[in-house]
Amino acid sequence: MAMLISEFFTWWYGAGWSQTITDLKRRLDKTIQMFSIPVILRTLFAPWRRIITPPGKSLDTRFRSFIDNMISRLVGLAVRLITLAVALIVVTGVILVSLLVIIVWPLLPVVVFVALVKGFIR
Amino acid sequence: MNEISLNSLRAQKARLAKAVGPTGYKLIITLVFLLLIAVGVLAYAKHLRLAYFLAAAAVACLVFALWYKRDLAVLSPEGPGLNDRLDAAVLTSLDAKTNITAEAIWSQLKTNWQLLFITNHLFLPPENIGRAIAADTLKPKLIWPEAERLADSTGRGAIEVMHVGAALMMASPTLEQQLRRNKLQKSDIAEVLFWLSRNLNLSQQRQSFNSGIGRDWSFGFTNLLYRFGYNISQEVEKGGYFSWLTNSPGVNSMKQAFASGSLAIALIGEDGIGKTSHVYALAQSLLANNDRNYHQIFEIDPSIVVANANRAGYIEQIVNQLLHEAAAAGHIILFLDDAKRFFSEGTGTFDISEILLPIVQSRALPIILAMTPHDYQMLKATKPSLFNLLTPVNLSEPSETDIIHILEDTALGLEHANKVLITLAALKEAYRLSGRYEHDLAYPGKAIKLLTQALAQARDGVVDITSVQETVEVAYGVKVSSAGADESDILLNLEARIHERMINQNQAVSVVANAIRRARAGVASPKRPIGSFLFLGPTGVGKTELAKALAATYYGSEENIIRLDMSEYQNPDDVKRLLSEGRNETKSLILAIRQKPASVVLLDEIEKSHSNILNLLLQLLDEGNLTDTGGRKVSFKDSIIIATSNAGSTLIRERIESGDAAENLQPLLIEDLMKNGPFKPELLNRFDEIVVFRPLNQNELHQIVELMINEVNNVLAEQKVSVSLTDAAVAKIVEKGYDKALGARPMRRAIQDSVENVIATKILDGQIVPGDHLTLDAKDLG
Repeated sequence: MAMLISEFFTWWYGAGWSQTITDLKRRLDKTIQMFSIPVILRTLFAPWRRIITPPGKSLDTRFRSFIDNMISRLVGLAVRLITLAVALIVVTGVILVSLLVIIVWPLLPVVVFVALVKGFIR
Repeated sequence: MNEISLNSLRAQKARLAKAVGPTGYKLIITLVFLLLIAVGVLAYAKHLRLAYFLAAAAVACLVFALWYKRDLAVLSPEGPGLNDRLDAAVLTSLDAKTNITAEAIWSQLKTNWQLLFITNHLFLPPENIGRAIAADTLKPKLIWPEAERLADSTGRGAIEVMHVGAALMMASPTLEQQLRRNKLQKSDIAEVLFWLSRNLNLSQQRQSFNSGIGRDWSFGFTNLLYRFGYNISQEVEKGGYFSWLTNSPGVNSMKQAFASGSLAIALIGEDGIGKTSHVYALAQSLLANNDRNYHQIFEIDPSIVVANANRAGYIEQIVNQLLHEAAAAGHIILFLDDAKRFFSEGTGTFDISEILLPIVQSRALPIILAMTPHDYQMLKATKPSLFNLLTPVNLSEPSETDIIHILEDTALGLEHANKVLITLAALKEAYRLSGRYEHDLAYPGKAIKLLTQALAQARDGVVDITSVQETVEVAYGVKVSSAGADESDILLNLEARIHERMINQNQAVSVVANAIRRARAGVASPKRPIGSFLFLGPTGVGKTELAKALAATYYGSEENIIRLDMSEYQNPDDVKRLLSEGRNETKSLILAIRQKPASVVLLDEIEKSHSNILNLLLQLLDEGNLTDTGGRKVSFKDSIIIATSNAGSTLIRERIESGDAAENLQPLLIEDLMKNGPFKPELLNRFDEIVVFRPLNQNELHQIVELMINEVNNVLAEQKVSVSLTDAAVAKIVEKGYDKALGARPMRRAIQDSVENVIATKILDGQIVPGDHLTLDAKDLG
């Protein structure tokens, strides 16, 4: 039994902690991937769903296509910015939770001990 | 170190994990929640002392649950030593209190699912294996290093139950004998072990694809493609397909072709080789690459296009819109499976080459066209401009090892879907027999097709070697399984059965029967036809009749005879006709044998055929196959080849008349044929037997008449009428029906003229009515 308890503490403050940090990193990567953040940043000003008007020959049609394409790009930009804003909130949340887990992890066994002591001295 | 320790810290952790189990884990997590709620309630009610105790208990349970989930339940290998690598199932199944003998190890592990997987797929009862291991008194000291070696070679870090079990089985000499009795060998144990571990490794590698919500926003809409096609990438993304083909040469070639700027790929391979599977694997490979996971491979379904085209020219309009939508979208790879359907006008097909050409020329859209080598060559001839723009990626048949692996993976899916067990021996038999009998598909498709068909022959939920053999026997009419009791009876009494319809020629019947028995008992070479005979003798002595009798007796019907009059193949060009694969060629031996591989091939008057055909016969007798005009091999290994010839008839007649026995004529005749005849020595040497038919004597001719009268009676039996002949009548028919040059050949005509005509007249006159028996004398005959 003593060997098992010693093994538990070795794992908790060694492999267990580092494995948790690795898992949290993976979770953060997945979240970034879920919102396609690299793709969105790369195509921030791209037209929405490639909807473009080819430029005509006359000045008037060229101007119209420029306006149309500008609108398509603005729609795309708006959708992407909104997505980025949501992604920023979610990613920040994930980072904060991860940091919290990393800090709390080593404290959990201590919490058991402290709570027991507190209970006894009450 | 060759001993295991069941009291190690690792073993204790394994036992603790087993004691908790998944149910215990769930209970602990539930307890954590309940305790935390109780802590909240108690804290609110100011019962702080109890709240602290319960909080300590909740956190302790949480900590233990985390330890269980992330360490105890996983129990990863902790080092290179034997005791550091033993899997939890091994450590917890073995009893620390009993003496660890090989027998005890087997007995304690045999119910583990991994060992059941191995024993089930070898179709060996675990109890029999246990008895064999007990009989051999194997030393565990020798087993553990072998289990370690197997764990290393299967790419598994831990030494699992399957490794220990396989090591035990492979070390047992007694079991090796059992395996041999089941037509298995030691390497088959390793084969099933690798089968299981490969799939365990694959399921661990299986990844979920998450391309993200914003991926498609930079690309165009694909509504039409969804309406007329099928998104392969989406299916892969949803987890409907997972393959190890992603690193195959075919997929790598396609990726390299795209990377080097080729946007139109011709994926070339025979039907069944796995062209579609390669495209699915390409989709999987692209999804796994975060920089390229936006690519979507769409397959166009021509039948939907045709079904929706309700007016002339609409097909072209739909296809045009589809291609432009795909090109405009910017992330589509178009896949045209069986591409010939898109380049020819017909039922369910249409020609889009003119629409496709500018798209390919302008490099606006990556496209994969799957086709057979034949279709690729047709494209070269009919659409050279499109052909020149394609980058060919050739798929070749996988190796035997890879085909067996593919079959193993397929079998798992079939087992799951059909609730059956498919043995390893069945997979190997499917590989072997599909190679021999299925000529329309390439590997692995043909083996998968046979395996799927064999599901219908499963007995008690097991698809074994017999199921596969029976499937082949039903589908192709060949005999591939060992002779059963009925067939053994036929084979042992083959001479008697043949003599039921053939008079005398004892030596000829005997050599043929012996050759057939050798083939069916598995003594003869399986790489050649079942039997090959050259029948020599004058006309009308029973050569063709013996061939027919053989077809009827051995293959069950006289219909199983492919008869070619070789006098029709006298020109060099006739070789092409004989080997033609074209459906319209009625004189093609290739077509006939493909339709009926289990047949007597009767080559009448072989000496009259062109020497090129005799050379072909050399290959046929030697290798048991011929190659058709399309380059595909066709097997004659289930056929009996009989060539007949009148060459040497004069010599036979002279010798028989001077009193020689037919049995003694063979050497003389062979010598004569080599010197003066049309046959080269190498051809004569390749026949299993050269059989000399002697002219029939009077007594035999009488018996032939009686046999023919029996046949007439068989026909009359329906009308309840029978006929018999007096001796004088028989003698008259023999006199009328025998010709020195034609032998007994005119006999049937004589029976028809003398007997059948008389009976017909009497039936029509009402002179004989049902129930009558008619005896005809010489004077009654017509």
